[in-house]
Amino acid sequence: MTLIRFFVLVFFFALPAAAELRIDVTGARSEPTPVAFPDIGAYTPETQAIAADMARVIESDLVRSGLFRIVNRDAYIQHLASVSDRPRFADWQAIKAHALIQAQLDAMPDGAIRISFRLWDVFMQQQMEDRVLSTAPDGWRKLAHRVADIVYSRITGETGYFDTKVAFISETGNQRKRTKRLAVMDSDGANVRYLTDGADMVLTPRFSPNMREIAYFSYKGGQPRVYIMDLATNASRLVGQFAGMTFAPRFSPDGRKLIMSLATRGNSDIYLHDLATGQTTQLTNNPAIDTSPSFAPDGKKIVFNSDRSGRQQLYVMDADGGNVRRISFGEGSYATPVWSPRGDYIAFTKIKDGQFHIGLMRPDGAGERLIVNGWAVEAPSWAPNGRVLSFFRQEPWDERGAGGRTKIYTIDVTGYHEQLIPTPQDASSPAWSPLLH
Amino acid sequence: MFKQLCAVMMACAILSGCAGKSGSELYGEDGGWKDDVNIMDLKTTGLTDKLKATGYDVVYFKLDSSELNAEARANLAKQAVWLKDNPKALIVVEGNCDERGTTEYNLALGEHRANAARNYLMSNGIEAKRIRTISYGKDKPAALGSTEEAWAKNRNAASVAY
Repeated sequence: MTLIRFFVLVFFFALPAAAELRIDVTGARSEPTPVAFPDIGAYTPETQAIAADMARVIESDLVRSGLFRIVNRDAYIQHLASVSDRPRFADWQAIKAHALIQAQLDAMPDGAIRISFRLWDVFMQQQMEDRVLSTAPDGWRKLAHRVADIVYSRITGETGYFDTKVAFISETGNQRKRTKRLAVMDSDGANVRYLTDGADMVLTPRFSPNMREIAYFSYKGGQPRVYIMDLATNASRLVGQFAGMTFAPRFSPDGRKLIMSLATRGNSDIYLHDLATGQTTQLTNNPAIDTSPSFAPDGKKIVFNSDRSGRQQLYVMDADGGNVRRISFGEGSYATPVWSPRGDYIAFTKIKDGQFHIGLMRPDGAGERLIVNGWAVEAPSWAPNGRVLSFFRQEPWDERGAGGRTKIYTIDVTGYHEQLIPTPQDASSPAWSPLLH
Repeated sequence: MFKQLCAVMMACAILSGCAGKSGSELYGEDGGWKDDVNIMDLKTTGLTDKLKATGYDVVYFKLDSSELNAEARANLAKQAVWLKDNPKALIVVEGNCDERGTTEYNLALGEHRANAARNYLMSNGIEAKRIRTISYGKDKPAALGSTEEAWAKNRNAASVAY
């Protein structure tokens, strides 16, 4: 074994590093990488059923990323009976697979399920991953997302994002009587859970960094304000006591503070609220509308939206409200800036010439690039790896107040691979969770 | 009546053995008998519909603006007269936006519109305490459909009397 490892190391170092299978997710558009993914080996009726379900979820995650396609299984030459079978690389090269996922699912004596899987670089004839993961049988879906995350991460060099949740607003009804409920789902649209009953209109959910809470805006009691819901108990608490409307909440990166807007007597400014002490600090003081604040991942800067110049633009300030400077200068109105968790981009909504766009710029405002456009697109939210965004599209209403469908999509920072997240009802205002593991 | 009351008080004193404290622990120093609360019937029914019927209840705004134009100010001046004529009416001014803006910005804009109307009513002599404001952003459209006409109607501050 040690000898084999020695030879693998020698082999590995003898080659230029760039030769290994690698997809650059930041680069130009490329064809999806062909992956061979034979059936997950399973040897009891129970594990066979779960293995088939898991294979569907893993395949769906990889394909939905836009970076991979699964080579048609009818073409496979070698039959891999178990995860310990050595692949015949020539057989997989012949069908033009670049990567091979070899997996097996077993039931453990304590009732748990265990997946063993290997990821192979078919051309280099190298093993890229060899992992064994286990969970209770009802955790199969999460287990499948985790496998897909590992494959994605190993090939792209980026953190995966499949084992995550998306909080959103589930919408039903016509334009006159629209019901909006707070909900969460898995990143692929599965496991939708409704958190409010629809009696009060709710908007703009945002996850806390530890994922235990969601900050959101609600008209509860006829008074629009920001609340925080504890996801373990579904209990909501009002954030602070303010003489006015609080809205546009987001957590600080350390989760200890909430940054939001407070509108009183016709003025909207940005406030920082310490969740432990209840202490509130006013960060902006301007008669214009200051809203949609979002922290940089290091917590040192805040990007926000203001119309102080006469039109909505994006501004960056220090976390104490000092050193305000405008970063957007293009035509149109800029709104809902969100700092990437990697710190390299600020995503925003832009309205120009009657069209809505989702765009990206560097934190200093350079390199503006629009990646989505439509009649109405809004609310960019970053996947935890900072390489994929979610947002929603809305269709126009007809004169009877029908239509207006809202749907949530994901897209790469490259502007490619737009994918619908299927939801049982209309869905808007997505908020991607941090990574669960 | 007075005799009956005396009888009750005596019975109470005998039973409890402490005449001075009857009832006071439950109802405070006044006791539970004080009943000089005067409820006035304001006879102001249908205030919501009455203000609506004037046509001065809604003022409209330009795109992205919370500035009151001449027509809006004229309407609010008439609304102020109505409020003076109906001194017992309270109002909530609902600020609304068209759907061609983002959710959070529109919440702020609706609030600014409602307050622009409120401030103008106050400058016309209406007490601040009679006017509450609320912003519905783009979530309570007055007119249906995604047309310029509907959007113009949905950029408003609408006063609802009650």
